[in-house]
Amino acid sequence: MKRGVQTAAHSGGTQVTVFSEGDMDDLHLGTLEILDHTGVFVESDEALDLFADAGCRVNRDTHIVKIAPTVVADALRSVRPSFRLCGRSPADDVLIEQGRVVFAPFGEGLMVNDLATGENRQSTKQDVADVVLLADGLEGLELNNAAVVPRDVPPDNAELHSLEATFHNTTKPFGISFLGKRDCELATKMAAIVAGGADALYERPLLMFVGCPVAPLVLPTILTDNFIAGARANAPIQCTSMGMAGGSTPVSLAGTLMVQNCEQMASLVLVQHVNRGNPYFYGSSTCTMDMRWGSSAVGTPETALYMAGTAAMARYYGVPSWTAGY
Amino acid sequence: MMALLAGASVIFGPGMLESGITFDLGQLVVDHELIAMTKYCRSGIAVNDATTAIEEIISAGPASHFLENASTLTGMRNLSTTKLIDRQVRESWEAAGSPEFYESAKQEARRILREHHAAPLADDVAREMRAVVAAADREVGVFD
Repeated sequence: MKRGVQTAAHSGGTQVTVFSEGDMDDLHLGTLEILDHTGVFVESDEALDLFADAGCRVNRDTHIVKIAPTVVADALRSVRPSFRLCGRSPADDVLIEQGRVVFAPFGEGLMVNDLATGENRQSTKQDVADVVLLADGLEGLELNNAAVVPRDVPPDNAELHSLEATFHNTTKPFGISFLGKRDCELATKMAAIVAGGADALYERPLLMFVGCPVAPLVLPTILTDNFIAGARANAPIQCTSMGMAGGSTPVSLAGTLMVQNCEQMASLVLVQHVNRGNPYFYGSSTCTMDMRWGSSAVGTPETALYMAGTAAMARYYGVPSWTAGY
Repeated sequence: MMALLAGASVIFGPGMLESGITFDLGQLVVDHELIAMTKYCRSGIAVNDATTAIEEIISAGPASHFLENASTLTGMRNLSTTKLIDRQVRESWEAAGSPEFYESAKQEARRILREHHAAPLADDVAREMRAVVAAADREVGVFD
């Protein structure tokens, strides 16, 4: 089993202070206010049922779910501050802990720069295999990722082909975002074959389910399908907010982090209701909208601050974080 | 970045390559662009009634946008901008001739050298200073 590099809160670790306690209290209390009075839009009826079971106020016509502070508090009580990500080989397991950091490649791109020709072209299943094998061989990367989408296979089965290529080429833990219920079921079946049965897979989950809210404040079906399937399988879940400041979230840094925090708390309520104590990553790939070009500007100082803010808020809640960088 | 966050008073080094053997004018312009980004990070995340935007988020609600908010119009002036790093999508970047960051930086270095002028020294100051250097050169056997 591997552990991350010690960072903040260890003697000798370098630490950056992003917020005061009061700042984080403001973001937390603002989140409770927004979730209680405005709520989130939840697309899937199955997820609406689960939110209702969890004690939320659900409007089935508008698909708005309003969440009381006590429900958020309850979800936060059951969340795990540390958990293990399992690789195909147990020696490659990674312990995720507060104050330690591990690294993963990007995921998921649609194009690849061909290593031989330099050509920028659509990615294929072979590219998934190559990228995953390369990351498996780089020892500074504790985690792997199906970093590109295979576009030479049937689109509805792209993630299953991706999963197949990934299992073949790495023994490290990895994350993948599936397209819906059918995808999740078939992927779980594939993982059970690799793990040696459904029970073995429950004990050592080989899949990490990834989902992205749509800012502002929308939990789409693709996200809730992934999270429900993941939580039922006791598998780690990575919820990656993707706000675009000035477009889908307020232009201010704090307002954007506020929207993100609302999406995270709503997702956490769902996941912890389906399986109390289920491993959960407070994740972010939030960026700014470039007002000159209308593009999503990722390599910016704002993104650096969003990631620092994400790490700080996740620490505030005692939840491991998943941030973007490099 | 780490020195800046640790509170260093001066950070030098922009333009340097090969552990200080070579100075590169294009690299100086590249580093200058990165300095702007690190300075932006240093200003941190302001948390107050205006920036947390609770009422705006509540009135916008789920599945909306913030493009038409007055705060977006005023706040966009505080967003980071780049001079040379190209934030366009690939198609627009290619249409613009696929400018590489380092190449753009060298062009910018040439432009600045062409167009920028430091305030001139007064003629008599320049003359007196020249005389000192000329005298020093004569002392070591150089005559102009």
